[in-house]
Amino acid sequence: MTDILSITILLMGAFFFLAGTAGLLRFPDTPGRLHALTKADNLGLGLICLGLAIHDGSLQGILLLVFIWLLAMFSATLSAFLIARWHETRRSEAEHD
Amino acid sequence: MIEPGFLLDLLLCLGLLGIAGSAVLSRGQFRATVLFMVFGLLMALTWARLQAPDLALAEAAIGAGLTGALLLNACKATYTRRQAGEAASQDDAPGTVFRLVAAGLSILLAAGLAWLMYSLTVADGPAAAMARSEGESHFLGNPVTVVLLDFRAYDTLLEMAVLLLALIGVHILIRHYRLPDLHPPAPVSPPMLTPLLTVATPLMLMAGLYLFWAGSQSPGGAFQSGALLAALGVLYRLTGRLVPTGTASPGLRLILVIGLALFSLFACAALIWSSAPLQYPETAAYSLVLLIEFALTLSIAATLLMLFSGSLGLARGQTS
Repeated sequence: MTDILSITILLMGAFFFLAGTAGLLRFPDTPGRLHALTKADNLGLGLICLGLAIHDGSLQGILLLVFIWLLAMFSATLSAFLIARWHETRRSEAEHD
Repeated sequence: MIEPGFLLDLLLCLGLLGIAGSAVLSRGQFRATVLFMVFGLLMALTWARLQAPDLALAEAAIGAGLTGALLLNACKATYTRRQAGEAASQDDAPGTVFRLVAAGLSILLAAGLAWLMYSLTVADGPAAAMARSEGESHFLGNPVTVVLLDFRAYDTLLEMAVLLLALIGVHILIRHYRLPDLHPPAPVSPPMLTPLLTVATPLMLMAGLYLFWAGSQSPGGAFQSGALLAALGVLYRLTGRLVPTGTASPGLRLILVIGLALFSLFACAALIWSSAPLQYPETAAYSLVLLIEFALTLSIAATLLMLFSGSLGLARGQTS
């Protein structure tokens, strides 16, 4: 039972990664790509961590997976913010010229 | 019947080859650099799959992380030079003959290495068997650390000398070329920066020191730990918290040489209690290893940080 649950959640996570990657490749502009990428990072990785946590079951494993997810979200948020900010300054510079 | 990991290994191999190819063939330095960093990450995964966590950690921290940062810096330096309208276009774009010769030599080297590796009898030579049997009763639990700090301590000692020489070479080149004002000295402070540093600093310090402490018994060690601490320094350098000065302070110089100095001192001192250099004494061997490894960690971190901090992309003209 738990196996089916964890496999389903892992597949959902993989789907989010796939959708995020497709968005990253297909969306036309930087903010759109960032939008796609952060979804994959947050939700996709979160679901995969959840699926693995259900599969693992031990307290240590669950804590480690939560920690990994939080760290990845933290760095994804920051890098997305920095890239978006760079994009904005570039755009406003281009408008002023 | 396909083994469970086979597909993953196949994907890793194809990904490595594909990314290596596109990194070499891609136009534009920035693209090539990013691809190189992705290559490093995949390589780290490959080492992890080969059950070599020490190498995986080192590859991720040094190969993908710090080397990537150094290369990005180099990209920025050439970009700024081109922006400044310096006559760099002639230096930067090598001709067809140069490219062909370089490609030919690289292929020759790769073929030679492949031939050597292919004829190598892995894992079952007499040295490997001896290392395995001796390593089991060794006072250090991590076989990689046993090799690095005991069986082949000589190599590690020379590696430290190479690292220090590289830094000195870089600084001679920087003095020689008299850098123009490449990077406007504007301390940036975007809104998310303070939370980044407040979270990252304790985490990276903890992880770095843990890698050093764990290195004697489990995966980790001076190089991985030093690279992580250097990465923290890179963060501070990029956000303007660490400002380079014209000359290095005595404290910094001491940290730069302390790894090599302590290791050399130990190599000589070992002649007192044994007939060969770099031989650990019967008593207090473990604390000696910890002491040396800590000095190595400090030196590696400082050297890598100084390599980054001095590189052209961040240079602030001191010459004007």
